[in-house]
Amino acid sequence: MKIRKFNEAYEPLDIEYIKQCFIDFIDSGAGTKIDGNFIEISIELPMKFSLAMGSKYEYISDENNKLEKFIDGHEKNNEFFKEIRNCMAKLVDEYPDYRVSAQIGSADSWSNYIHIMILLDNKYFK
Amino acid sequence: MRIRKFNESSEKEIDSEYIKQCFMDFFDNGTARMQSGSSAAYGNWVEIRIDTEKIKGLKEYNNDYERSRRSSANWVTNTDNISKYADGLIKNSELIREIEICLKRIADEYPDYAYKIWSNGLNGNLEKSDVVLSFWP
Repeated sequence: MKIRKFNEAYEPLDIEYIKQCFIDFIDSGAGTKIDGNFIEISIELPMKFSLAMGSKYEYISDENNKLEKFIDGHEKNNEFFKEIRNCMAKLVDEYPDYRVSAQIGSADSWSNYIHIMILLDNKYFK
Repeated sequence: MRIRKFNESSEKEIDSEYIKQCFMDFFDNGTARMQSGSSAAYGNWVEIRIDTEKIKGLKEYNNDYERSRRSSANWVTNTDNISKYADGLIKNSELIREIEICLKRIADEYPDYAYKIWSNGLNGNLEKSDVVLSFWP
């Protein structure tokens, strides 16, 4: 675990270590966007992931389109979420002062992506 | 298995009691509600609503670095959030698996019944969400 000391010099994000934590996703095509002390990793989920916001109901299945297919997709997404959780935990163990947020895309073009945003604490920004 | 006979009445009935019996575990634990009726489009129908796991949703992606930077003071690393979120999704998958078993029981007895399933919240983010199953003969 690396915790910054009170009078320690400012250090940038450890991009290499972050990428290492998410290497399986990055190798599989996850996008990364790096901007100074900010990195965003965009991971595509196996199944379109609808937030179904508000009171909108979405069709899942009928007698011709069996529930099994929907469940399989849902469970594949669940596995992704568990792996992402493990990657984030690995990163936070090493760098507890990084700010990390997992966000879900809601717009159509991002509706099957989960975005991991990693940022240095604001107080280190100049 | 009950198949309609050739000269049986064209007024198709639906066995709402049997359908309810198939979902009895959900009714017993208080997460299911049933209503029935008839319409010109579907004839007699039965609708069952089953509450889904309440999952605190993840933040919505805004694709705006400056906005993320400003709001990052509240992030405080949500590894715990994503853990709870993943657990909630798994519980909802288990619920759908149980529903699938109920549907097989109905299909065994009434292979002619049609159904449709909707949901508004299997992936969380809603205060109250459910799965809606509609059946008609």
